[in-house]
Amino acid sequence: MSNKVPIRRLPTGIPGLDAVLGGGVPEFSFNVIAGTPGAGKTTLVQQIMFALARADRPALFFTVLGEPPLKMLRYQQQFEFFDLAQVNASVRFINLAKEALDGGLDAVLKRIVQEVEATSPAIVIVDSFRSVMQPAKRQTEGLDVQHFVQELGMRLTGWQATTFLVGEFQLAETENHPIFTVADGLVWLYQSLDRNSMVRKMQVMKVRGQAPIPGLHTLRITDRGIQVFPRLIAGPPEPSPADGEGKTKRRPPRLSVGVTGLDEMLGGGIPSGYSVLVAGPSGSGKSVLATEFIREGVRRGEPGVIAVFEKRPSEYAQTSAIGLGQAAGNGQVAIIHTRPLDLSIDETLHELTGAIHRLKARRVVIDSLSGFELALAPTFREDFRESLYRLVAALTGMGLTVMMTAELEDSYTDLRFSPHGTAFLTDAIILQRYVELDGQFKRVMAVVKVRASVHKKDLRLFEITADGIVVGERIGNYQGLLTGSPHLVSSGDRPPHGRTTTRRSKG
Amino acid sequence: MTSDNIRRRVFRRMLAREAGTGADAPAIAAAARRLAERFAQQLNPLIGDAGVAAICARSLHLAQQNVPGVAAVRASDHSDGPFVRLQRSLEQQEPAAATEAAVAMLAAIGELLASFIGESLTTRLLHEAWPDDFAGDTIEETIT
Repeated sequence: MSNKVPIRRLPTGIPGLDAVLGGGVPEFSFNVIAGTPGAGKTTLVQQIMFALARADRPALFFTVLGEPPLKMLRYQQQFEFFDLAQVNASVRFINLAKEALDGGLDAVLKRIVQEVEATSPAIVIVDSFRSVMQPAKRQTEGLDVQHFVQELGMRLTGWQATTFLVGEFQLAETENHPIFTVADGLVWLYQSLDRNSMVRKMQVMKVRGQAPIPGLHTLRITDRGIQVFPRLIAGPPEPSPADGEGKTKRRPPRLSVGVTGLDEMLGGGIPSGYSVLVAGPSGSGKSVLATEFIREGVRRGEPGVIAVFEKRPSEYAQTSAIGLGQAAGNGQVAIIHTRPLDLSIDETLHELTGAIHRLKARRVVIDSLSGFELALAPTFREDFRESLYRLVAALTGMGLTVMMTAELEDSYTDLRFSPHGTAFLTDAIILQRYVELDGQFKRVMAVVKVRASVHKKDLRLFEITADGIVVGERIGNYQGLLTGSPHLVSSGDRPPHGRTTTRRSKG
Repeated sequence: MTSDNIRRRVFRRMLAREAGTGADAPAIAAAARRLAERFAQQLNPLIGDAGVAAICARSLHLAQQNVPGVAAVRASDHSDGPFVRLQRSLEQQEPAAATEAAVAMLAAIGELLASFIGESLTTRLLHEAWPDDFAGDTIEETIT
């Protein structure tokens, strides 16, 4: 049995923040919430305050010289978390402007300590702490800033209060400002501007005694308050079933795509937990294939989630021609439609995982990667490939089988499988192309790769009918189909360097 | 009945109780000052000295538009605080006019505050200052 002191971690009441902090706010810790004006500092601490304040252990919110308290009360009460019934009951607002202006740090400290000793609060917030410092700069006698911070930290922790000091600091100040040395926790909030888009981000720079998730996390402020979307860190990759001791490992079960002939091309369906890229030009049938994949899952009792980035869900369900609307109504399919154009990958993943857990989904479709990239805020588009890697790893790590569509320009001189350079991220690739045969555009499909699995290499004709995709015959007697200049090969006359009878397609 | 009308009724009742039956102008003025100071005392920790001063100054301005007696308060000597000025000014009026001016001033503070922080929070603050006169949740419940 461990004889180390247990540190209780307080739930912040902010979705996603506890995970970023590494389990919540350590009880009795002394924390600094820093950032630029408008970054959401006051909202963050007030949301925590209303979540944690209790009648027997109230919260004290000291306002100093920043935002006038009248305005702060006016605007903050618009948030859902702002519970008017708690004001002056479990939550008390105390203005320290007079002490800060007239008495400096001594008077501020004295008043804070007085109030803390009188009410024995669980939570103490000083907003803005930076404004406490301004009068102190002009002060020649009394407490200096370092002494003040040290004394405040000791007093508040001694009274078993968990403290949040809110302030507008510059990042460069972290090196020499005494507050950052004394603080147990340091959370930085940012407004990140890129072209015309603004994205809110946060970073937990330290939390003593626990391991926060490193890096920048996106957050969103709505009427409900703040929601943090923890930056997903992909764990070590799952070993492929055929890696290493492949022969002794159990091969994953296969999932039927629901298209006769395509399962056979894939070597028996898609291995469970794989990610599949369906690449093809506009109108080639990628979305139809993806919805067939979901419909087949519904038929087999495997619910599915579709993230749509181009069409609206109702349009999507209607045009899929396979009754997705009904499945969605029955709770077997969730169609997520996100097109606010300022998304982060982590926010999308949050929406996806919410629907996945709700439906206990086994199949996920992302339609399409191009639309997804467009829906992201510009600042995230630069890292699209890396972010997509994290997203795919997270979903497949949850045991889901993921199908993504990607639009390809139908080039006959450049054979590529994804405009995003993401083909290598996926375990399987299905390629759709148009070819010109006998004066007609025909659709063809091929399975380009299925990691660690045998699969057919045929190019097969396919059609989209009212019942979905119908895979036809292998195109056996043509060469150069993907070059745009196919030529017919005489039967029994296809040596590598033999003569061929060619016939130009009519154009 | 609007929240403002209810507040006026309650302040009028409190003023009569505080000043006593058949009170003269100085007694009404002193009672008005005590009520205003009690309200300010309740607001002070929340919005600070500057916030209270701003609310009172604006309330005087708004109240004088409806009640002529309040104008005398505004025009009086600015060297003292608003509540001392209120008392001095009311002392020199007829009892009925002093009562009207005092009620208008107190009600204006309440209405102005409600326009900033909402009826709910304003009612809560009034209840904390005068728990027997203002209910803690909705202002209507106190009167009916």
